[in-house]
Amino acid sequence: MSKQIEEDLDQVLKQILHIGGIVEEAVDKSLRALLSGDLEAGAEVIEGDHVVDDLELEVEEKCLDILALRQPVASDLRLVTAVMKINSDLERIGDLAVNIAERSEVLAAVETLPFRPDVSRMAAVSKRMVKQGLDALVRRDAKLALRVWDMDVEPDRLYREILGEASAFMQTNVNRIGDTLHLLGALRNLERIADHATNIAEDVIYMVEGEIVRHRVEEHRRRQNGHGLPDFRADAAEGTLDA
Amino acid sequence: MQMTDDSTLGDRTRGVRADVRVSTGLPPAAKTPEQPVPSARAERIRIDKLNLWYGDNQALFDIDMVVHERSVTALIGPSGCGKSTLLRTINRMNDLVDGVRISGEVRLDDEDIYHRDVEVEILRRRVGMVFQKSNPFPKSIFENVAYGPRIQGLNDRTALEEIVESSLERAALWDEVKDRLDQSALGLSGGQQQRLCIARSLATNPEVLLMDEPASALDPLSTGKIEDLIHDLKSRYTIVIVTHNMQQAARVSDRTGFFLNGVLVEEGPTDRIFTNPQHKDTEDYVTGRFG
Repeated sequence: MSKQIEEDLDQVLKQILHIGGIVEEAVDKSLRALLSGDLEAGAEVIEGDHVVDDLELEVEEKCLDILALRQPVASDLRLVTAVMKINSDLERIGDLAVNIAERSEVLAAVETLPFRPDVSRMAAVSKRMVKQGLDALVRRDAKLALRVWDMDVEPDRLYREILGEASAFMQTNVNRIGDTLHLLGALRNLERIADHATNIAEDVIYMVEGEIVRHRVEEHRRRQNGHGLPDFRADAAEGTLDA
Repeated sequence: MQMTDDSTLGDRTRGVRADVRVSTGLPPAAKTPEQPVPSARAERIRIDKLNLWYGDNQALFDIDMVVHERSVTALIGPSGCGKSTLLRTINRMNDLVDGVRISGEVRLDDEDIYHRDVEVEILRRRVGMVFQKSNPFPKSIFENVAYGPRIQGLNDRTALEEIVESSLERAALWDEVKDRLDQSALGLSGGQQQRLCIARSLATNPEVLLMDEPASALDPLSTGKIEDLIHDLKSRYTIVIVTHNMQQAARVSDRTGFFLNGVLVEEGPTDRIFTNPQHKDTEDYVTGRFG
């Protein structure tokens, strides 16, 4: 029995990491399309999405089989439930990458909009969140997952800033309102990708530590480090953070 | 029966005195003096530093455990781990085994059940037991259930009928046997016989029910009925159940204790034991990776 469940869990973990690899690449390509106008990369994202959809169903069916036939408990149960949720998150990230690729096709045909540094920064952080979320899953590293969770403030902040700048820009450049709305649509999708990476991080923490941290990360961190602040913020408060 | 010299084992150790009978039973159930959390259930059984030896072999090591009223506590662990031994200490069934000695305390409503003044018959009336193999007497269904009250001196037919009916109802057997109470209990199915034994335990109006693998010899349907019954009985009784079936422990219990080699490795809320056990041995056992 234990050998069977170990084989099943090993298989489903390999499958989810395979999907993770595909989705990470899709995000990368969609951002190349957005930032560099690489329409070939964007087209590959759009055409390849059905692969992720098919794999998502396979993983879900496999997980349901494990639940029904192996009745996993403890760390096995946590792994299966985490994989099921991460599976949905990855599929959604794949869809959002498609949306970005589609917006990029429109944006590639028009003059470049003047928000590039912040857009590049937001793309880099969001991409890193997806990558490190998957790394945390591979390594079963709850600390890395928590760092991913902490990173999510940055895409949120950048999105709000670009939104403010874009509002002002559209008031003075009414002929570019349509283009700007396409860019904001793409960035909204990117911000959602970062949110899904955060979900993955939360599921990894549950898988490793058995604690549901969703909506109560500060409480979780207080138990871990005594003050509840992300370590980099605590360092800043003590003046030890190297600017 | 081996008698232990208290002086050689210290003041926490005493011999098992199944042969001691005194006229006083346990005092009336003491109420827990305070309940810090309003919704928390009162403590019913407290096991404190309990050690048990079969001759020279120590079977239980420093067991500390609390069982709360109107809850189900499951004891799990591999064969020979001490879970049934612990169960039997709660109504002193081990008194019947030669060479057994214990140290430490088992307290029921804050009274030490191994105190020399405790009358074991009264203790066992308060703490009933259901065994792995159903063991109905070769008597009628009615007489099986009425047996306990009868030996307690109750002979009033109407009172006995009321007890038999209510006990069979609580054991979820009444509807199946009400028309054949005078027939032999041995004609019932295995699952019905086990529920009859539960009804027989209930007839003496116990406060605690000990169940030693109560469904291990039953088919899935009968097992389901026993598990439903345990769930229903929980509203009135404190239940401690030993089971080899971990899914059963997960289904029926509020708290679970995992035993290994006579040690209570981990005890806690059942949902935590089966989702996030704190001890590696527990994790290995519940996930089937033990040994």
